[in-house]
Amino acid sequence: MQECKQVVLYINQFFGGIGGEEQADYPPSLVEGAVGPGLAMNSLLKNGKVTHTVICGDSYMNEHTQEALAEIQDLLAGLAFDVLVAGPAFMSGRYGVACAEACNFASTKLGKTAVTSMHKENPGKEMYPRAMYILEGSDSAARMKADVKKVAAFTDKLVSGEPILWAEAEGYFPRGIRKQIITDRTASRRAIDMFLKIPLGLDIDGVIIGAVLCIVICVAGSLLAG
Amino acid sequence: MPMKLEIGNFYVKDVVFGKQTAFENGILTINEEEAISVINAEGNLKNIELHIARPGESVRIFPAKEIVEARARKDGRSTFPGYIGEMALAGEGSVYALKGMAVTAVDQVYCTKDGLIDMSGPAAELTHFAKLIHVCFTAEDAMLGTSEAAGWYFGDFGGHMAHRKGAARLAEYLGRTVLEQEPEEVEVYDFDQEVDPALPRVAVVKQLSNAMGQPGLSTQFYGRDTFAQVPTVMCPTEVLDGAYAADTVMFSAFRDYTYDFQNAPIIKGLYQDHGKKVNFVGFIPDSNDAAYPDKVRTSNRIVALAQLLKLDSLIVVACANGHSEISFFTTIIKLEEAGFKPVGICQESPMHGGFTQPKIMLDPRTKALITTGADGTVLNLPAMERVIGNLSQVGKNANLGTWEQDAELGPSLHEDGSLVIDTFAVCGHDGNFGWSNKACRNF
Repeated sequence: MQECKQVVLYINQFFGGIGGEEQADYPPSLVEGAVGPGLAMNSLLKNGKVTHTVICGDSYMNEHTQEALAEIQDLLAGLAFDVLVAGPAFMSGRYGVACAEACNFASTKLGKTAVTSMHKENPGKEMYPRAMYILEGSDSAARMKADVKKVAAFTDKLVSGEPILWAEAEGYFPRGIRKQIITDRTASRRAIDMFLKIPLGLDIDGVIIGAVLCIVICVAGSLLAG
Repeated sequence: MPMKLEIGNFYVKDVVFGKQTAFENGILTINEEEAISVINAEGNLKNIELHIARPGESVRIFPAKEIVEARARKDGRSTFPGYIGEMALAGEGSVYALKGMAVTAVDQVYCTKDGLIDMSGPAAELTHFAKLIHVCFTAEDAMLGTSEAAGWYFGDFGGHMAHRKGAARLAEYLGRTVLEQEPEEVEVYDFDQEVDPALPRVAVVKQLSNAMGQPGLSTQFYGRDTFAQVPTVMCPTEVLDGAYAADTVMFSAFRDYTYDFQNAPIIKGLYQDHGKKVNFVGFIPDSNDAAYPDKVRTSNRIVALAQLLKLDSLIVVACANGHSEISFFTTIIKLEEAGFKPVGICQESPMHGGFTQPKIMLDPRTKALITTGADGTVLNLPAMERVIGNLSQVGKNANLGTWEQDAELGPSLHEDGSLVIDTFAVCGHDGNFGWSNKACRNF
């Protein structure tokens, strides 16, 4: 029996059941066990378990970031855990930024692996691309179930030590890291197959456009980061 | 124009030393003394020793300078006309080849383009050269004198021609062992056959290595330097039959060794579809000179040739990063603008951690590209039981892919003989000529 890995969940005041916009200044608190999306995660996780939940108001994290992170540091002091999961944040801008801050803090200050989920237009996506895995999420909380399912599956993979594949295969946004993989087709075969699709009047397939786009995205990422 | 080449293959199961140089039942026996005299025909090498490295063995070859397939021709023509023999046209008739092995020249002093071949372990997974039996010779350049500092960079002293030609001579000497035997199989490359005129017309454009623009260093074309060479059209069989020999400029990861020209997978692969799915019209060398006006001139000529040959498309193969990427993309963009649909093959160089921009130039007019791997990928390599060459040269003399000291990774060479290097140092890693078993992804 594999040891069950411990997951800390970060969520905002709304999903933490504290309240709506009127509670957005809620300072961080730590709750034992899973709250909100954590309940669904725990029903899906096979190799891990949400043992604690950090709840923090979106305005508090956005407007008092350093204080919020310092308070979270105090709350988590002495707590053994393996992964921090934040969100899912959907297209909610302040929540996405808060999740990115919490993940970046867990990754760079605490040395933990951090995972979140948000929509591709969420401003939180661009903040610390290499500090965390951001799974591509929906634009609305109506699709919470689907996003939590992805987060739980990815978190399971992380805690069980399985190799994390490239962005497209796993469903996270590229982090500006370019690596090689071993393929079963030689470069010669790949080039000839690609060539054969072009002059015969077929559409250039997604692989080609994907290859060029991947590089363009990666270069853009490098330029932004560098 | 040469149009038809037959390559008679003899599969080598093992190589041993013995009294008489001979090939029998798959075993190649080598008389060492005789072989050494062949290698050193001009007397420019000293302290020559022979070694054998087999796939899967705990063997590390370093610094490797040149890799050549052993071949000979019954008609007596040199396997490398103009290079180690009389000038003649390559690409016609019959040549015999010893398959599954290569002749590999190894130095005692590292020069910039030399590389590493591990016969087992993580680096062996990344290069086609680890799958071959290597008949290595280690030797010192007699002209190099005692100063290690002199001549290390791109190889003064005639571009280490003594090692390079020594390998070609030994390869031909070993190839002669099979001249009176029947090959196990014959590969036929017949460009004289009738081809359905409706099939798409394609040519391969291959960048050569000429960055230094100095005699002796560049890719050799019939024994002549290729810098400032105007792009021409060749029958692909010429490339497979000794028209080219390797340069001494490019770093080992992306360097095309002579073996790579002799066996170019993109040529052999495209020929498989010749007459069936494509009409493989020819091979166009890109001299890939470093100066920009030369790049413009060369890419213009390639487009002109594509128009004259009424090509539908071209497969453009890069040889390196840096300035070669400018040549590569300049050619591809001009071909696109002229209405061709080129497919490019190149490596990426995202360096340690994979954070660096992987190409120095990109352009949205590049429509179809495959990449062959990531230069600068860090490798932790175990110590090997046997080293052929001189491991103390790791990290010395601007040896790309190894370092004396790195802030994060420490020195490349550890006391126990294990290494931390990156893929720039692995011979054949990128395999742009079509070998590569790697692709790049975003993480």
